[in-house]
Amino acid sequence: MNTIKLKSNRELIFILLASTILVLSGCSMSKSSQQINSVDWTDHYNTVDEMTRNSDYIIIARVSNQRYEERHDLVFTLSEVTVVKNIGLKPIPENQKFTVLQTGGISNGIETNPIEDVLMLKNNNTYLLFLRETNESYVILMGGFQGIASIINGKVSFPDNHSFSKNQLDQIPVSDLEYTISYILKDQ
Amino acid sequence: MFSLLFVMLINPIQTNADVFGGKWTSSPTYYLSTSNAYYSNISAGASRWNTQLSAISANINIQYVGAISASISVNTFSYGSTGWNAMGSSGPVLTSGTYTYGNIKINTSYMDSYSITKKSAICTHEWGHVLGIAHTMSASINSLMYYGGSSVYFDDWGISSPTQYDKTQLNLIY
Repeated sequence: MNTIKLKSNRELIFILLASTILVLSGCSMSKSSQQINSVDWTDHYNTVDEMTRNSDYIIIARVSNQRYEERHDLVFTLSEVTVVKNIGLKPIPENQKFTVLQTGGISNGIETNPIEDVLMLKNNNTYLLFLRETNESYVILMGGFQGIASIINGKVSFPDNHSFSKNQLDQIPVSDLEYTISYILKDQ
Repeated sequence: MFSLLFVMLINPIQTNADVFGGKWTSSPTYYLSTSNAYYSNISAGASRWNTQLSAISANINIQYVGAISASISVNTFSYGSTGWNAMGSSGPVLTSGTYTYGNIKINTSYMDSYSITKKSAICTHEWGHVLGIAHTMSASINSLMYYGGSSVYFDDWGISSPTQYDKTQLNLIY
């Protein structure tokens, strides 16, 4: 009887442990608990080709400075990036600087949370950027969250949510990326 | 069998759901001056979701009230070339618990140039976020809440109101 009870207790403990693990793993699959903003983007691309062909600039660049700007009730981050390599068609001198605007940041005690799925530029880090011009003094990312990837150890690293980029370009060396982009653009 | 039942009972995560995780337990209220250029679009969006809330017999609906008591703030402003048309969120925590406030921001820098029907579609999309519905990630699902934005769900697919899939997501919350 005691042996049976012990077995039952062990079973119960096992069930509780397994349930706890499953609950925790379920929680980790849910969206981040960090407060985020959801937006309706003005543009969206379905393939690497489409995004590449529509970009005004495609560059590998390093963030050299950041500042914040308040517009009404929101804060925006303006990142100054220095071109390391131009891999688009439009001629850009090496070391030219661009200012990239992203929504989110802190200024004068006002904080705007980042937009979901957007990889925010960080100072001194290097990125692959698909950019489009605006009628202002800065550029923005293609497709809101789509036109950005980190460059880590000479390889391109796309965030998980970048479905087509992740499938086609993720973890390839920069030299292979240049070849792929130039192949897409060769007929333009 | 017991363990499976136990897990199903205590694990609230809907693995295929496109919902944030929080919800309104009392009716959210909003205010926007009737003279605001986006009043009719915002109201149209609220009305479209109210139709769906009514259809699923939810015990809340979106209500228009005076400014002081509104739980949802609606701002229209020319934020400039930001890459987004509009923004929607609820809090204090979007991903869990009970919402007590929300906001919708309209970027008139882009929106002013759109048709009335597109403006209303985008406002309806943002109301979906305020109610707790997240973006739909799959392009194979007909949804107003598609993450690619209005250039896809409105311009390409012609969707301007919650679809059956969006209603299903609403039903998961309310």
